[in-house]
Amino acid sequence: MSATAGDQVRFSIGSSFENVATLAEEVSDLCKNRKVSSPDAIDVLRLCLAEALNNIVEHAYEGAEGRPIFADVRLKSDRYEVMLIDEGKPMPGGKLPDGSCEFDSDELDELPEGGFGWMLIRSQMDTVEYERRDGCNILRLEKTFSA
Amino acid sequence: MRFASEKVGDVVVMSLEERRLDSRTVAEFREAAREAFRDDCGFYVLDLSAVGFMDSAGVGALVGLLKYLGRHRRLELCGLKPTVRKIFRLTRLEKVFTIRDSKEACIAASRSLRSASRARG
Repeated sequence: MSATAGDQVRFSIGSSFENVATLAEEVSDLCKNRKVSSPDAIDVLRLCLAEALNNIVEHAYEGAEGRPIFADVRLKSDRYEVMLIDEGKPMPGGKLPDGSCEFDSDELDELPEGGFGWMLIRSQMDTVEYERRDGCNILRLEKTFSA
Repeated sequence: MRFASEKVGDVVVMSLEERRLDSRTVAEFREAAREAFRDDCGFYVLDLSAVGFMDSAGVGALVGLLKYLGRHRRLELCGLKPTVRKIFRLTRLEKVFTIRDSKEACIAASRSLRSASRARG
């Protein structure tokens, strides 16, 4: 479901991995329709949105389905900004994970099978900000790119 | 999880027939891969040409598969679309996996590996 106000489009879904996948595709389609200039930046947004939203479903809502998630999306040809809002549990320690994911590629048994999500988001977005306000988690992602 | 599997010589090739390997599908994938790779041939190829989207859960499941197969069984990946390839680069996991363009390239690699090990005797 989506609603447009000015240059902002608000998407709302109930928490589930299924809906996350659909929302990430819808935002990606919106980028193409609104002439976001860089296909690479659209792929990055689709991936980072999926990562951040999955994190909300899995951790903030602890896998519970049907809880509210909002995504406010602003698109320009060379820039996007997305605000994700949920009513789930706050981030541990009230702050974003640092996204570090170090490993020795020769040590098969020690390789991590998770923890790549925040690393991807932090490495690909220009801005990643988190705030807890009025019982909500607010995550803001922003990126500027050239065509 | 839809997939096809075939045995070419001593190599088992599993070709995913899904567009996504992500949080939603990884549990099914784990089960399907263990089924497809239960043959004890020692050389396994995962063809990802149908996959257009993979997230960190998907790539994590591939690490899990690599660890499951262990050091004495070999896993190679092929057919990665640019967007899928990119996630291997961003997570630095491309150093961990052997990635080739096509399943034919993987099968050829298995043959040269075998003749090299025969030559060593």
